[in-house]
Amino acid sequence: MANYETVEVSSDLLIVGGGFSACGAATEAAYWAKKNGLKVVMVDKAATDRSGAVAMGLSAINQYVGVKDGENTVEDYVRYVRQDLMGVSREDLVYNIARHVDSTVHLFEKWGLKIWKDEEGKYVHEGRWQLMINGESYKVIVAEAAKNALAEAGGEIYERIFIVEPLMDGNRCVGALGFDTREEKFYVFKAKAVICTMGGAVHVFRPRSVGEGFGRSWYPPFNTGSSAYFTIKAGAEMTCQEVRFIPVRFKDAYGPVGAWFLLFKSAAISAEGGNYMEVREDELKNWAPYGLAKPIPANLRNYLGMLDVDQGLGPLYMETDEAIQNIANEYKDDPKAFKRKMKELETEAWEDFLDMTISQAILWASHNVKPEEKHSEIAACEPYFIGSHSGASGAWVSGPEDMDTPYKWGYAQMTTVEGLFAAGDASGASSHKFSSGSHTEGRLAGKAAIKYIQEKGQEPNVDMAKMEALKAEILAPLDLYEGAKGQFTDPEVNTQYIMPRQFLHRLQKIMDEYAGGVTAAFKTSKSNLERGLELLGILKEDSDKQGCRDVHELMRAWENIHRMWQAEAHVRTMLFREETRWPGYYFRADTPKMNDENWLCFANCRYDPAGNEWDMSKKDIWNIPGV
Amino acid sequence: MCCVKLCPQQAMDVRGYSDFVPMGASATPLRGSEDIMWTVKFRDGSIKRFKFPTRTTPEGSADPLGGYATHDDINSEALATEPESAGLDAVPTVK
Repeated sequence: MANYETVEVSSDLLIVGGGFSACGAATEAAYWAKKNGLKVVMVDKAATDRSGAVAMGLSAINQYVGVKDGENTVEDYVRYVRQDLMGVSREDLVYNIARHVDSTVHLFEKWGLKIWKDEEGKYVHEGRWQLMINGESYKVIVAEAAKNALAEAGGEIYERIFIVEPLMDGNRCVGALGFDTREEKFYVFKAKAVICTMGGAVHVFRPRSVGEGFGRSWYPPFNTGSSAYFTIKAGAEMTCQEVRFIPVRFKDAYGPVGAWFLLFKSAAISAEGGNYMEVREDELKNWAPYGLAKPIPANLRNYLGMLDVDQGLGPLYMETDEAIQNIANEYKDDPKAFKRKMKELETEAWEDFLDMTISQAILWASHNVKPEEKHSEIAACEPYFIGSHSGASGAWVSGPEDMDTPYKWGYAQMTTVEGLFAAGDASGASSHKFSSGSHTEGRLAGKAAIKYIQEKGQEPNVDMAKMEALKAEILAPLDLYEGAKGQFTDPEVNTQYIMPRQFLHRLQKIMDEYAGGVTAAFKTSKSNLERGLELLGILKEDSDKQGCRDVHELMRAWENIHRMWQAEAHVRTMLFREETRWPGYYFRADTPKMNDENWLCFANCRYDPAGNEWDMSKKDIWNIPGV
Repeated sequence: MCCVKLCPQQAMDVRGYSDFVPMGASATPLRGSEDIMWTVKFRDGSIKRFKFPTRTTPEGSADPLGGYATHDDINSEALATEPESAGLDAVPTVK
């Protein structure tokens, strides 16, 4: 077996992940841990300053409710999310995040994030819930607060450790197993409770660019389904695994469109010039009541554009030139003010890209795009799993304790597995958390987990023989490669192992073609899903045949396995839900209509690790009374 | 690109993905402790320069509790710095 030293790290609370929700968890947990003499350890796959979905930066905060100034109520936010997700949301979770999120944003500002303000000192809104920021260092600042909090409380951060498996003691999660991404070290983290915050999943579906730009995706490529895998393998019930997210963004570099839509009031049009939101307005009646209320759900806006593309009316464009012209018209009597305004808008437009998607700035520069002269192409991205945004996939977690709901079986944010908490992309059915809400949910999980440890914490009882067997299994791809690499002159060609990159292509091909990816025009059906599941089953059999040259490829191999489990949960749940509810995310051609009578509910799934079986179930939707 | 932004010697250069980005453009950052400057070079040779703030506090100084009042009640719905950090008298609840 590969000669990896085993390093054991014990703590009271273990946080796996390093992004916004992990930093929120660390910041809050550290405060309560210090008071109670407990130790918190956080483990990040990368360097926390620039890890997670906000690594590059962000140009807006997408969730700010503004309760203190009476801008909105918490209930307003619950209604907004219910509408956008076609009725399917855990309103207790959405409410809980929304009532705390403003305090998170105020903390961000104290820590050093520059939030734009108007002449009266009020936040500048991009939209009703969105605030404009200078966010190049957004993650650096949030990570800094988490690191300072942990340091003050005697906690620790382990960076560049890739977490592979949950460590279980019966139905209790007591830690995690992983390996160093640079050195030959195998890690065993033991704890009394674990918070899973390892982000969503990208590259489960084939991306639009498959050459050098293979890694270019809208959501960061290093989010590889680790949260889903970790919680599924621990035996946690999962929810909304069918509710993937497809954003429509500037094509190929996936640059943000929020500023163009919300700030510049730009329209999206077909190649023939029609604004599909107007031309296809009638279609929205088929998706009532959500299609007829405002704001129109993201998936329906996608869908109207997709209908244009289906009819050969693409490419689709963002009408940047007309938007700028409209603004210019407002200043037609004052050329000086117009020039000033244009300079301001140009800076805002470019910062939108440069803060968070530099590739898009390079793409525009490489095409000599001047947005005031010519409109730019937009397109639907490949599907992602991102429960923090407008998707909803994640673990099924216990709700807040002060609300009278059917969703309480323990501590807030705890999954159905004892001692295992989830937040951000790892927790499901609480969409539209974005960066600030994910951090908030992390804080909620951090406090609840410390409370759990205080009241129920037990020393982990780890079966070391089982742990050694897992270590051997995790490192096996290195041994497989070493033993068989000499079969042919090219080590990438072998009959005994498959290279991780090719395994990834195999997964993506299945998902793209059978589960409604880009080349299937986001359409699927019972027969396609059943065939996809059959192929995924064979892929799973081959998953321990990945051969790895080095630790980097070993990480890739396990990332692939994480994605593969996310894929399976997704296909199984799309198969289970016999309707089409989010037509702009996926369209089940054999059940093309929304069916409220049978399917206005959560579709949950659970993998039973003992019996190696999946159980599918429906769960009722609870609405906040009077909201 | 994070590495490019962080490198104090400006030792790294990048280009766009060669399978879909035409040649000749670049975006070069110069990042300081409180702002970042960008030079965007277009394929036609024209250049745009931008400067954006990155943070309002000295590096390393983020106080996790933000100077807000804290409390000791782990059973309440209020997080460590609430309700003061929310700007409210109490955490909202469903009536």
